[in-house]
Amino acid sequence: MRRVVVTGRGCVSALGVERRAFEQALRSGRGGIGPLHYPNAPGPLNMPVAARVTGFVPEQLFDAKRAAQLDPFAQFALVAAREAMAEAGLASRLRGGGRCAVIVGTGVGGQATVDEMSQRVYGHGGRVHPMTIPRVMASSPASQISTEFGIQGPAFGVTSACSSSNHAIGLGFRMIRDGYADAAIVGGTDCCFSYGHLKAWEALRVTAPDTCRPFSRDRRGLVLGEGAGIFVLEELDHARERGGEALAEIAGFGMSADAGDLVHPAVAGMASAMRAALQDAGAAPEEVDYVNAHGTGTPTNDGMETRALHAVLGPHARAVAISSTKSLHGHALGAAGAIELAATIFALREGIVPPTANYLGPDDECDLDYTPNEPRERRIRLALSNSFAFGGLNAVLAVRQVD
Amino acid sequence: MPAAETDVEGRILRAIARGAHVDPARLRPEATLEALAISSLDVVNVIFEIEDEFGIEVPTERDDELKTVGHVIAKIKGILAARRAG
Repeated sequence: MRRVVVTGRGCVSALGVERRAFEQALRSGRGGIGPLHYPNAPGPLNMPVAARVTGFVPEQLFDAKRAAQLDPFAQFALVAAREAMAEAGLASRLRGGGRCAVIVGTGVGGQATVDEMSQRVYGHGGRVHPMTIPRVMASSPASQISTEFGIQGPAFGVTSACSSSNHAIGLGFRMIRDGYADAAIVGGTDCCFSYGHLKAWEALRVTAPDTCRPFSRDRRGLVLGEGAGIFVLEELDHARERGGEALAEIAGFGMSADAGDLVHPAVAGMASAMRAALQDAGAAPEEVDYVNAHGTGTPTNDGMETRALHAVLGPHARAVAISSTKSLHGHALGAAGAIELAATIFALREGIVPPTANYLGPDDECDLDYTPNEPRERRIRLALSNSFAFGGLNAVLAVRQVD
Repeated sequence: MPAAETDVEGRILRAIARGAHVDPARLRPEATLEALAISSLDVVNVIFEIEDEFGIEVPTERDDELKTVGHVIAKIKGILAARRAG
């Protein structure tokens, strides 16, 4: 069977605008959650904290003409793609090639542009900027990456709310493994910080007033984040023949749907996706060393995810290191799985489990080892990275060290 | 011809420069949009800027007549003249 490895990584998040800063934060347990300042808000906003990207200056990254075509969610994806392509070092080989795919997930798409358009149309009865459609379309990041790097294979966006990244990465993985492509640029991106969209999150009553405390007692909800994670995936021999470094292997991918409640996750659906990922990887539950949990910090998710981990891993669940790095970089929605894959690969390569920050102590529903507050050294050979979206859409990646 | 022979012409040229992200100094009337690397998408942006600048509506169904900067200036001047006459 064809094997698929990661040869390039790029990450924009509240922990920094490049991967090195992200990894430094994971290593030290330094979080990116802080007070949310929303200047010029037209009304009240009950969302005191968020995990925003700082130090990202579009004027320094794109010329004016290009910037006009890009909503922030596409800007994040492009910057992460540049970093991933630089690490992989194969841009010149992919240019003009049809054997490379581009698949980028997004949960909410060009929200800043939607907000601007709505203000023009409904607020002022004005005209809409001609770049609105190119900016707002959910496939914009895939288009922009394909165009910037001259990649002419299959390219499209995918969307499944907070599982969008994992679906995109998993599809790219399967396309390479099944012979449809030799390489794929995959990942996810989101930027949800427009007033209208934040009001919608406020209305759903799932965001925390204090901070993100996954699996902890007194957890009060999720903290919205933003950013992008983009990866270069390659067929193993394709990477080796050109002298590319195989950083980690995507070993398996599992998907499922709860077909149930819109926002209340089902243990069976979560467990089914994890089992499918392990089966796809040909791995036994006992081989799992680390789980980068979905771990949103909502009272419901974390209890259900804990039950699903018990169901899939059995007694081994107590021996596994688990953490939710959302406690550090927030919930980046459609970018979450990709940012968390970057954290998972960091854990595999460095032998360091990033912590679950802001943890206050155990909870009746959450009785496993969530790596509270401090990073921990541990050899990790096989890891799972979970994404469980609203709407019951589940996608789990299995990642292992390259032997 | 200087870049802004008249105020109207100067305003049109500046709107083209804004919409297409080109240096206004390059916008000589005989310059073709193709040579200036102004794409069809850029033309849409240019028309948006011109409409904003003059508060007019520019019909767009016959853009194939817009091959040069001079064509754009003439077309907009024509619309402005028709508005004054109307």
